[in-house]
Amino acid sequence: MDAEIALSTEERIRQLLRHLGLDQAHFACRSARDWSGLATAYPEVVSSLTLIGGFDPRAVEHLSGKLLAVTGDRGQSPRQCAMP
Amino acid sequence: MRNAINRLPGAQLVALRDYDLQGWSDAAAERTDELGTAMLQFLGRMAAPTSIALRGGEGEVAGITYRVRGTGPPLVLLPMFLAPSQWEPLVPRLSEQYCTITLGGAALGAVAILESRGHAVGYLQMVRTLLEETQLRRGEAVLEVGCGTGVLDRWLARRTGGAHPITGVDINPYLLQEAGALARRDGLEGAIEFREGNAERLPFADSSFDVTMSVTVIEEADADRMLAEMVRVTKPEGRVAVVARAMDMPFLMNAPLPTALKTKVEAPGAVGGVAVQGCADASLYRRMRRAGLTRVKMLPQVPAFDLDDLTMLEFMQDQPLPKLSEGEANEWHAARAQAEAEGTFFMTFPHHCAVGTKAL
Repeated sequence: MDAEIALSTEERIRQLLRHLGLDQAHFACRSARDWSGLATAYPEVVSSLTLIGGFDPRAVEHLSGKLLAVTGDRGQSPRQCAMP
Repeated sequence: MRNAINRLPGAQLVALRDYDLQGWSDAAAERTDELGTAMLQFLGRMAAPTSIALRGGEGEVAGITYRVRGTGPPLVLLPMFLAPSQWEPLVPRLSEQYCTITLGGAALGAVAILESRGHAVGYLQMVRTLLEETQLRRGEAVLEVGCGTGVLDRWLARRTGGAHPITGVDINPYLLQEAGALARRDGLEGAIEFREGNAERLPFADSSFDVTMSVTVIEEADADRMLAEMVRVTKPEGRVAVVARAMDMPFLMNAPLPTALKTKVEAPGAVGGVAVQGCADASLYRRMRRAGLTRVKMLPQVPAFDLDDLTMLEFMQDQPLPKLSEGEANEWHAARAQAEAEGTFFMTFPHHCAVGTKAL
């Protein structure tokens, strides 16, 4: 199945941004898989990053001044996200 | 989370009041004003990207679907994991000041992970074991409760060559939309009927299906109400098959981790969550008997995910990481790299599985 995912998520998003004529954008995300590649490989396109739910802070240290982290104030300790 | 934020100077943390944020939480619907205000205040302080006047509309590029609304600086909204409403309750307000670009498709969010999981050899082996126990006969009608992207319905339709009417029901319109697109992609749109509905109030008459199944949904619902509904819509002598994530069984990460770290990473419940009334443990078997099912066959299964299932594997392996110290994380990465170099890296994910029969 994953052979179908020949293109990385960040490359897909880059192609979309180019198609729309965007050099930069604000991003709001939930799944680490969706944003971590973009944040690592192309931080210059990220004007800001809103993350819903838990995440690994090491992945966004270089974007900390552009980061909004949203979580809930109760329940289990925040995780990356719960399982499907 | 607060510890995480302390590592990130300048980052802003917003904790939604009296809210337990799970992967399936519908945060944009349940905390529309609070989340919207937090986002708009934050975005207002950030240097804005160049405003654009994209023509509203929809399209698909590189396997990502997009929908554009509003004008202003671009704000890209990636999928809100399993949230039924995704970003929609917030989009009108955000689009008053920003050009919102909502993304979807099989390459992103929960859809990518559900599809990766649903194609994994170990996972399909678990489902095959469950279905064999139902002794599904040609022509019998099958219902999947909480079908998500319909990956198992498509697998069953292909495997049985259209021998069974297959219905998938899900509470989540976003996942159902993706399920419809994936079924069309595979030429299976005529083989599966997708319906929107709540597992606790199934939109079907009594005794409608021969086999009613559900895979890793009972964790997120009122488990006993859901089981009662599954029994209700199943015909007498029909079978009810249920899989629940086992948060009471350990994981296995096949990598040379130090003992203390291995214990931490593989601890029961290290991956996944459960709703207050949900079931993610061995109480599944007792609950199925209480729901009136007979001949309940109990079949706990431990599917493995390896590098062939990369999207699912990465999703699993990343979950314990935020809880590790810097040193532990370094040890974890080294152990994983070593196992990967040896070609022996995999993780197992325990599940409780059972099949019961509805009495005559």
